[in-house]
Amino acid sequence: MMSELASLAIHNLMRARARLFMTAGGVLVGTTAVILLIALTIGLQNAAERGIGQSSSLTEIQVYPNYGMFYMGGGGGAVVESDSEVPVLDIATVRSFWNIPGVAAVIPIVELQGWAEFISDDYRGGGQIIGVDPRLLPYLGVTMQQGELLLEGDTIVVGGYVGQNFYDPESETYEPISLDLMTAPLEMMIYNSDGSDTREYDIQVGGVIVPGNSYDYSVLMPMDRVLDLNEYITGQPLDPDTFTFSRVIVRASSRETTQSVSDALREMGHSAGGMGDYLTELNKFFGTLRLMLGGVGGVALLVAAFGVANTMTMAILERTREIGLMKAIGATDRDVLFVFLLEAAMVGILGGVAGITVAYGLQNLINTALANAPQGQQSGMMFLPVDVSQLGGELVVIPPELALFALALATSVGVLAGLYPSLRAARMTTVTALKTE
Amino acid sequence: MAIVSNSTSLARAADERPIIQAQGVYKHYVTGGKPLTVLRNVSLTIPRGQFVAIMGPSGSGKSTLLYLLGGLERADSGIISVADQSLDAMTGDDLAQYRGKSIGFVFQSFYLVPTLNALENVALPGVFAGLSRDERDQRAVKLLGALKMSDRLDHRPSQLSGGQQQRVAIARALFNNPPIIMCDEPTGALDSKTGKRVMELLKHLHTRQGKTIVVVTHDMNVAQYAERLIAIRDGEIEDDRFINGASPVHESEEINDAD
Repeated sequence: MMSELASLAIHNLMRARARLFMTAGGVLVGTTAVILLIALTIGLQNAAERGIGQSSSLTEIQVYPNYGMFYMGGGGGAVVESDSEVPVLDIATVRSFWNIPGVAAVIPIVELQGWAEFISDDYRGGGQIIGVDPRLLPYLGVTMQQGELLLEGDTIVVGGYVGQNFYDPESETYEPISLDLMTAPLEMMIYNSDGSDTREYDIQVGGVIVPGNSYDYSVLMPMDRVLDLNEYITGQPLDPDTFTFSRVIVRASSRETTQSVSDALREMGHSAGGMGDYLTELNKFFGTLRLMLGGVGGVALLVAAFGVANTMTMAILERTREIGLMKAIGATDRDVLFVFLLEAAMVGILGGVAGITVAYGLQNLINTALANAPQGQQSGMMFLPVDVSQLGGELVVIPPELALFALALATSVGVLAGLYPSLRAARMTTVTALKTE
Repeated sequence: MAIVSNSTSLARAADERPIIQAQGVYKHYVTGGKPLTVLRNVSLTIPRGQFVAIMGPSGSGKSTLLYLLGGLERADSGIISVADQSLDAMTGDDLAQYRGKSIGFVFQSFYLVPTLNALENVALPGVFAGLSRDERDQRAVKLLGALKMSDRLDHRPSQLSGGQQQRVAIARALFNNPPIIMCDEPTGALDSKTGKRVMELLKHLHTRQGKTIVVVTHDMNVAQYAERLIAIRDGEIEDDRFINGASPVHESEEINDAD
């Protein structure tokens, strides 16, 4: 019975082919627009996530003392002056971080409280000196570009960009000079706080970290060495009772727990941030972007829906007597509704399938064009938080789910647009319909 | 078409079980904001196998009576039962099924689907009866063959003459083999010669197949084919009599127009 009615619906569709193709064409354009615009946000988001780098940085949370400011909630929204005691990163507090569920490692950091300069022959450079407990190095989650991750004696580890930021002080213009710090002779010069004295140390770089993380401009030294240097710089001996860490790196056990660990740290009154938060923000951003662009495509689909509704209304007007006749020879209201709804649905399906085909075609076209485009001409996309070099020739990404979603959307557009005209056809009284001229 | 006109067929109507019964039927329409009573306390009984003509001038309510009996419309009050089934008690779906199974309709302007060929038009009731395509085609071919239309199976209505179109419509009416054929001005759009052949065909269905036939017309020449003549005026039955030894039909010069 259903298939008999279905073939009748197909026959009805094919009798006005030009109109069918124009109406389905509208659905095609709408479907293509929805798919391509959403696929664009997927491509950009993939690129952005790739740009964040190793997944290890996604579980890393940087904890800072609050310096008199108390951050409310996540994401750094409202900032409120705190009257209460400011939580500090003292030894006991940092030790308590281990008790937060989902924490894999707690790595306290001591920063140099003054100035350091690196000298290699005629060139000078800088870097942020941080002291780390050498035993905790494996928990940093970094991989080495050169050498090994080891802090012993005068051997230090540097971030990926430290060696690329040397300069010639004699030169008129500033030009960054890249040195291979593993082989270049290196001295470190430390100034004390009132600038009355300096000390120089011969040092040896034992490892360079792969760039693309939070250590790019860092110089890692053993913690006790940095503590000694800070005593020299400030002229004050270390007091274990008042000592606080500059910051603490907390590593969550997984990407999923990162958010809850961050939240727990903020509840304790600390300032916590990291790539995990950035990723959350990024996802929010792309979620919004997807809604906006999807909405633009949706408008095109809405216009197509009116086209379908119009076509169905016209078809029903033209075929009023036929509807009356169908009822006179035994068709129920439901049969009539089914035939017309199916016609509308098939317009949607036809447009949807064609739209998916066109979208896949355009995907290939765009991605191929992008892959072959000369580099350095993509500045137009700089407003996006995306490293365009990370696109990997995939600006437009259509996952199968998106194609299926679009097909379902196009079909429901057809059905919904056809609903009112079809109901009207089904509810028509037989005699009135028959007598319509 | 070897149709035998047998005017003494009244004997065949000996089966007096009523197939159609109407009791105290009223029907009102609202036209231009004013209620109009189209049928007023109409009662009639039609036995199985009778050939009835309902006659009356335009606006007398004769077509409305046919639509009510055929289940195309519902009465405002009164009882209509066909083959011991009360139409008033039926749901919309039941009524649709009743129309499909028990009644074959023939209309003045044929109402063929212009995009379907003769075969598909005849087979259309089978779509809603849930018959397979093979069954439908087989039955339609047979029916069109019996009406001498075998060489027109794949012709569209626009490629057929008026008489041929009405024959396709009659074949369609016969498709589900209904006991009752209801015709609304079946010759109204045909010239008198073609109209005569259509009436002879109906007469044949009556005498040879025992169909109950109800024809609405305002043309006496058409009514002559019936055994019984019901005259309607202003929504009421004015006259109801048997016209058994009906005289042969005269050639009519008048071109009948729509009701």
